[in-house]
Amino acid sequence: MNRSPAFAPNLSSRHRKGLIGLALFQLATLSSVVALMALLYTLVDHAFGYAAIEYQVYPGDLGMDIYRLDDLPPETLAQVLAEYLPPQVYRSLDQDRPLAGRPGPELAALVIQRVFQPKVVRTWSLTESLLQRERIAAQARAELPYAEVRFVDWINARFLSRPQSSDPLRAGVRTAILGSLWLMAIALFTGLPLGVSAAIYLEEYADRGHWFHRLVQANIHNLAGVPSIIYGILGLAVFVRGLAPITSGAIFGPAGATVNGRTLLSGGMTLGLLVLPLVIINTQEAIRAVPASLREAAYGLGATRWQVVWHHVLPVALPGIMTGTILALSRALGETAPLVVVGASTFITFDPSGPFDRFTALPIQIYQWTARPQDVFRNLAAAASITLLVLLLLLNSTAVYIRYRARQGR
Amino acid sequence: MEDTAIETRGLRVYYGDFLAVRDVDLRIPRNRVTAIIGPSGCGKSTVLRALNRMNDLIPHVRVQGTVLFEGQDIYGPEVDPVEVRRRIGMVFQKPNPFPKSIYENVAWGVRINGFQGSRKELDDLVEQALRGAALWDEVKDKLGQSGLSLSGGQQQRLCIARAIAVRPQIILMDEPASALDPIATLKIEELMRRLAENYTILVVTHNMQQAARVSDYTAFFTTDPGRTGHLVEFGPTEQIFTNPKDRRTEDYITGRFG
Repeated sequence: MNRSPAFAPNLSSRHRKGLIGLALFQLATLSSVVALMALLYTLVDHAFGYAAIEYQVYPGDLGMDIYRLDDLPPETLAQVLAEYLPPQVYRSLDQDRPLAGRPGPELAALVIQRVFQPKVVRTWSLTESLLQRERIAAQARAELPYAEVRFVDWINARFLSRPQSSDPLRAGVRTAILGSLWLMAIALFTGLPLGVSAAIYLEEYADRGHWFHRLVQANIHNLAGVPSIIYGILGLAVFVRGLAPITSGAIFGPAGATVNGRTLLSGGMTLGLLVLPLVIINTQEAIRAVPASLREAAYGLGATRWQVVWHHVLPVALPGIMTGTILALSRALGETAPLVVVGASTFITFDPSGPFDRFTALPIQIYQWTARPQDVFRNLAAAASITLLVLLLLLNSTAVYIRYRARQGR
Repeated sequence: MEDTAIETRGLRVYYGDFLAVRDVDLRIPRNRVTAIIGPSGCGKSTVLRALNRMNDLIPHVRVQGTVLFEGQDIYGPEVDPVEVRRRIGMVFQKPNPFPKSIYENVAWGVRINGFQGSRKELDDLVEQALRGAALWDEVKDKLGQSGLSLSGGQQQRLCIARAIAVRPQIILMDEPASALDPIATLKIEELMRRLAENYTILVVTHNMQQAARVSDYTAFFTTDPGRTGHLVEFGPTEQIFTNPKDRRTEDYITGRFG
């Protein structure tokens, strides 16, 4: 090697610095992976495991499985009720509506509530359940002699398909999932048209050098960073209070006027406002990525601005707009604070059927369950968190798929 | 002098405060190929884009002077630039077909300009335009395929077909062959000669042999220190290349600079 005196022979120290940098980057990546794994582990750890359940009457004594009651003939269930309920309770139930005529699931619910009366007295995590089965069994025998210990999957089809309940064994997230889907739909219908139109105006029509344009642009970027609870306060003032006659459905007739403005419509529009700046920014970026040569080609043929935008810019930008919108919606899906402020209900057992209904949503449900004093609701919160994460994953993979398809088509 | 297709009088183009083209007086003869040559940054393309108001689309561009087309100043207050661009078409440096089928590439411009004929008439028009651009035989069996599936030279001829489908009088070409290989370039040049029978062609080119081969008239622009974008000499191509009147033209075409 020819070594000139002007250059110090520092090659090895330069390489060493590079290696230190590389080690730091790898460490950073590793820590994020570890953090993510820890999150997943905690959720799964709580969503499955042994639970000790005490009953007033043990289903086993009657040769029944508490989870299989729906399979039994209604007559058998009615018979159980007649046998185990105090006579006056049985009579008043029968007077309400003849028990013999009621459907099986309803009778099963009555049997569980009034006869078996299950109560979860202790739960163990999945790790404990897998590794220390003997210890759990011994502990249960010693401390909870009357409890039945069984393995419970807190997240399962029953959990997804049941409404909210104060009984942890019967509680589900159907109401919350439906509420979240309604909110997403309303947010989409308000945020998308407004956001895309504003982005088209800002990119294709407005004079970019003008001070007003620059002011608007800067403010959109600021709005994207505004804490979500501020949007909640805005939604409370404007939609819940200010537009109460509309958001409560009062002006559309008395049918929907049972509640105040704390409805799905208010919540959805608040989330729509929340995603609006994100939709605008993402759409602007998608529009900006449309090559200028395409616009010139169209203008060169005598196209008007509207024809250029509608026929060329929007179709090419569409995958980008959709991807950006879905990612913005997935942020809204996880939002809790604005919904709390706008007035999501924490305990609702009926499904939302229209935009003027009261609502709850998955993050609200999770928050409410973690705030309960009984330990068992922690397991439900973990199960609901997994549900929320799966929904988010579905949304995001749709976005990835759209982007992939758009690349293929090019 | 021959019949004039388009004429500029005292044309000046500013980018913000920067004067990119100054005081250009140019008469472009009808149904001829006119080449605009000159070193980089001399304002050739800017002049070309001033002739169909494409510069309007770029922020901070100002145009002064008049551009007479059919006896009317295209920068006049009652003139709609959209109509100007249909009648004065443009082909760009990089082939830029729409990401649509070959058929749609040609038919789109026709349709958006309010074409009222039947489907059959549109089909005929598309075929005519593709024949006019010497592309029909290569694509007639795959009109439904994407315009982007064609080779670079074919794409550029598709862009020419697209331009002539809306029946312009003038076609502006901004270095139409600079992104193509020599064989594709030759096809474009032959096409320009043929198109000159029905259209007025203005072509900006970096390639002096191309200008000599293809054009009837040549305009030479240059940029002196402190004096960008002015027209040095305009005349029949043969005269410009064999007997230039200005020493700067001679220096440029003999390759002494530029």
